[in-house]
Amino acid sequence: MNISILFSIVTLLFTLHATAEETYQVEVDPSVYPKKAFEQKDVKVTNIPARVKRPDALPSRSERESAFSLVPGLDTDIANMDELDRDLLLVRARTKQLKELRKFYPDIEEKKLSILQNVLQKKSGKDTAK
Amino acid sequence: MGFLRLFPAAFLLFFAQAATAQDVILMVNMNYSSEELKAAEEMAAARGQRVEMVPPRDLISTAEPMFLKRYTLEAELLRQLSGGQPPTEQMRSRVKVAMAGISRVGNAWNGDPQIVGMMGSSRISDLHQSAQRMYQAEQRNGDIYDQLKRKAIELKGKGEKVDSIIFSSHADGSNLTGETTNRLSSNELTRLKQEQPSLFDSPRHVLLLGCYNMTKPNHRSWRNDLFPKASMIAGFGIKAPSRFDQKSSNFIRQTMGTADRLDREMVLAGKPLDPQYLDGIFKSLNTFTTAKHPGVIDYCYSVTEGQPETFTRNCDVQWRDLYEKKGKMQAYWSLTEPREDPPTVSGGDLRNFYNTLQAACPAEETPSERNDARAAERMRVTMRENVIRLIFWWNVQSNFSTHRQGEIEAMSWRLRSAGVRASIPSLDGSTSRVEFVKSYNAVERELRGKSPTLLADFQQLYGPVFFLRGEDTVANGEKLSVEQTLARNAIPFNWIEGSTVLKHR
Repeated sequence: MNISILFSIVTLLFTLHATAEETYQVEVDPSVYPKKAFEQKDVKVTNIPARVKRPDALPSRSERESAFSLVPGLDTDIANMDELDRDLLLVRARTKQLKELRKFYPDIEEKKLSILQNVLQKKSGKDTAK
Repeated sequence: MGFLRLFPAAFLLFFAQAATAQDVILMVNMNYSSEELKAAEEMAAARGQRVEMVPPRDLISTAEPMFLKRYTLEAELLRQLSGGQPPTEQMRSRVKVAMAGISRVGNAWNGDPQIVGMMGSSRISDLHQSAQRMYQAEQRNGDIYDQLKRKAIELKGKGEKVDSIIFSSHADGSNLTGETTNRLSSNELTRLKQEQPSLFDSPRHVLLLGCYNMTKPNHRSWRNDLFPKASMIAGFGIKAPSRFDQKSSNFIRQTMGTADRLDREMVLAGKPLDPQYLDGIFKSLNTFTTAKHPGVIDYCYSVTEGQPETFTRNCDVQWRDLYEKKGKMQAYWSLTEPREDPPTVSGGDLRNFYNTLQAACPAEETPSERNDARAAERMRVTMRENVIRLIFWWNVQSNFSTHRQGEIEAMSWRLRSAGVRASIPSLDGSTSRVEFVKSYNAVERELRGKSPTLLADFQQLYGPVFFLRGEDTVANGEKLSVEQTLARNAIPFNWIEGSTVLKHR
């Protein structure tokens, strides 16, 4: 076997290996399948990263009301807000600086807005999407 | 104390939804009480609502002086007839008959010569003229049934909802009457419910200020047949206080204010409130505890009172309502044939739809959605994201055009150079959504088959403002930049705020 044939065989093997690596990449949802079940030679298995709610995503009603209920006295300030305004308050509290938030809600005490932001900060990270 | 019953929490959440700025308190003020109207207006102001009155409120200034005149005369006649002693029922009825006859035909009435003599011709004539002015005004307005029907259509047309309704009148329990020609029969109420269901389906709080309304079976009929969705029905068991009695207007203030507070408490608690607690709260209201006019309240209906499966049915109803409204929203969000621009100030129909979306029961608690609850919830999330961007269309377009100014100018030049006749309006913050969508489709039609590359670039650029998508989730740890969000055909959430983007990238 001359050197060029040997080189070709090595190249082919390398290509096949590389192709195999590209072909058999598996992403699994760890909440559904264990990653281990797919682990084989030449198969690269990774977990699909968990999806989380964006800070600016609109909240569910229960999540929003539970956050509001943790801020003493806020209920009277927001009594006349409808669903849309309540959602906006929550998203703004999650995404804006306190100073800016104050400009949106001058009638709500700064202390309450600050508590709301703290409450939301503590809750963040627990919002892994289903 | 009447009925205080509980209901499953999710059902209550629906009823306890915060009232919106477009909501109204509808007052069917058949005896033109300015005191009660004032109380209703106070409540409305506290809720950020307004009061709509049927019949028209400007008649109060004609009605009240006439009533005053009539009552003064009645009192004087009774004093004279009884010689200072307490008047008998027979005397009262005699005077009432005389007042009615004189109001109707004036000096032509001669049913009781003694009373006619006591009154004298000029006072008879004066009372008759006042009554006739009132009669003519009421004739012009049509009967209460017609007026309510018109009012329902008018409110619906404006996208406004009746959040609470107050019936102030005399009553036999189911038929309502005023002291003038105003009448609203039980049959008319039933007919109205069929013809204008929104009048009966939307009120959270219902106040019945007439006599006997809350006696059984009248109470059941108001509750089961007319207002099955209200979270509170309050009124009087047998005798109701007069509209001139402070108790009547305080009843409005206390019951509505308390129900508002309880609705909120229930939302925050996320579960029904303790029955004993509720009982104590209403018992503590002084308008409920008087021996003469004990109040009866029905705060949250119980399934044991004859409406099985109300909870499940209502979740279904909410979702049905959601789908119906979704269909109607096509006028705003159709990507092929939009007909309406988003309202510029309040959000109008779109805001109401958003509120409906957010307030509907969880899909997994809704029989009609339970089989594919995850898909239903995904749809709800997607629609909310979409609708909120549509409500704030005027800001979104402005932020978009500022951010993408360079590309927009370049695209405009490329389209012209390619001989495309259609063009996209400037999106300066005042461009109609309808106009934009139609222009987008026109450009797309021209480019299709003509220039695939330009078409793809055009879609890439304008796609986000065309589709107005949001993105609810991201991979853990991922932080999307504005560019990445736009590349996914979505609109960054903060673009709903005015002047978020101050210069182009």
